[in-house]
Amino acid sequence: MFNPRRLSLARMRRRLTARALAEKTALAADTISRLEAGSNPPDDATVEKLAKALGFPIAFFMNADPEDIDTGAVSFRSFSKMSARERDAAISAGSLGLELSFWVEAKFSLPKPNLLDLSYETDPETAAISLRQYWGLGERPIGNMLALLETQGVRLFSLSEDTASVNAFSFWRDEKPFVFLNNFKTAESSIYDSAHELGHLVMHKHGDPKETRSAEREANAFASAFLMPAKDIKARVRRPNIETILSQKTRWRVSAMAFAYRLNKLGLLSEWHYKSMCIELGKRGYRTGEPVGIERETSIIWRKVLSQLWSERTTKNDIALSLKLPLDELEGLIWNLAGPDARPTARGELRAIK
Amino acid sequence: MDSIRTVLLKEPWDVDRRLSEMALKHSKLLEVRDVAVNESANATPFHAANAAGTFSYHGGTWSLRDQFVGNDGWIVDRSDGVETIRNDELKIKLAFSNVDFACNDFHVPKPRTKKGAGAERATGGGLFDDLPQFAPKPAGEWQFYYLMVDERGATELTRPIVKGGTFIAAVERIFLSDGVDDDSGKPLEDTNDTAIEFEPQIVRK
Repeated sequence: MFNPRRLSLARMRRRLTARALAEKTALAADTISRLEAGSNPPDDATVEKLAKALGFPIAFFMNADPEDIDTGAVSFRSFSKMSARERDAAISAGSLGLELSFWVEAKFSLPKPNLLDLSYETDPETAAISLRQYWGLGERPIGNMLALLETQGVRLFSLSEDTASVNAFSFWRDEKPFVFLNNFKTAESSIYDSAHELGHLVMHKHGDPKETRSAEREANAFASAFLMPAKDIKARVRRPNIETILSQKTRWRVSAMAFAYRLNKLGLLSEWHYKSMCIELGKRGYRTGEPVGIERETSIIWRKVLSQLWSERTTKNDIALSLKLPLDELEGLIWNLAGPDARPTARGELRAIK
Repeated sequence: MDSIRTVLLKEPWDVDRRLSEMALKHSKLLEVRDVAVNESANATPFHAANAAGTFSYHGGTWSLRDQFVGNDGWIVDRSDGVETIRNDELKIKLAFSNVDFACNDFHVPKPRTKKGAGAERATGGGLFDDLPQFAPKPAGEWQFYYLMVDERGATELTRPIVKGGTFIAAVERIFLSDGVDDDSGKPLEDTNDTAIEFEPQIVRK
């Protein structure tokens, strides 16, 4: 039976207004609104038109209600810069991510969530230290942030939204933490974003308005302190200059800008010095990117899941089919997270012939 | 010709006592040094060859004034084309200079660029011969000091005699830092240094 809510979901994923979808399907705009409201069920020809225009399999529209995500409980970065259409698209990716997550967890046991609830903590620096101690990290730098999150039970997905205004978002669902990361940015930004979302997950677990500036500031301060523990920095950084900033930032796997900011906060870089450092970093292209950067982190869980499934001859296509998702949506959710494609060993070799 | 033996102050208690007589502060002088050294690090191979020294000089001169002017009687002075801070009560002038090598007992630091006639007049040098470890008794009531910083960050506050565009001797040398901050030393090398790596496990149901 046709599920009107799935029509809305697919339309939002494709960033279409009802009017735009009407134009693509040669249906009346009213018809689309009525279908989404569930006022009357569509005939087969209409479903086919909708499926074709949206690039979703017909079976997708016949499934049960999609997983609802409470938009108030979602923490978005750069929320103010985001259009409603971008936000809806990202939230509906979250909904599809939940379906993928249920599917995977039916087949695999994943690490149990092991986060602290630090919502009573008002100081992000203290919260970061508490979580580090709880996880036994001490003052040491983190070699692979995504794997740390996965080890502690965070479910990671990628956001294949090619827009700078959606960085990442996170939410709790059934006592499980979910993080969606935009992978179009530099490796350092992704690491920072993931620590920022971790900050929201532990500090704002029960808070309502996630998009307030102070919540964002807290999550940023948390990320900074979590990735660059004060004592380790103070023991290693002496009289920082542009060269030492560029060479030492790799220890903490952060961007030069984030590193300079932290040094300023820790009093190792005076206000004036910090300002001139920002200007110089900007000149060298570190404001818009990371000219000399680290390799992108990938998800270990997704790589293991996919290669296990490959070994059972289950392809991404098969996964998409059983989830009734288009392949591009599935790939979008794990894109760039799983690393290079694991391919099953070919039985025969193909050779070019002249 | 009158000559006097160079006064050399190295011990922290001697240094701090003398600096307080001069209405200066050790930590602030080292901050001036930090700014200068950091500014010089902004030079890249595409900058002019003398950029590191120029940046350092400008940063050092700016920071010297930023740290002291407005406190304890220090004001900006650029008379005779020499960029300094001046203290009328103490009759002291202080300028910034990049040098080849600071804080070495057996070497009077040499400026990395030629000093002009203004600096020579200001230090009260002139018609005297070079006498290592001794300096000709300077003429005039003003004492002219340089905050001398070398490329490693070694820093001394020194009252030199300028002749022929260079420092030929010193009346007084106050060692401030050998380039590795005195109280902290080099960042410690430890063994438990590496980043922690994680490997989440999954199990097929």
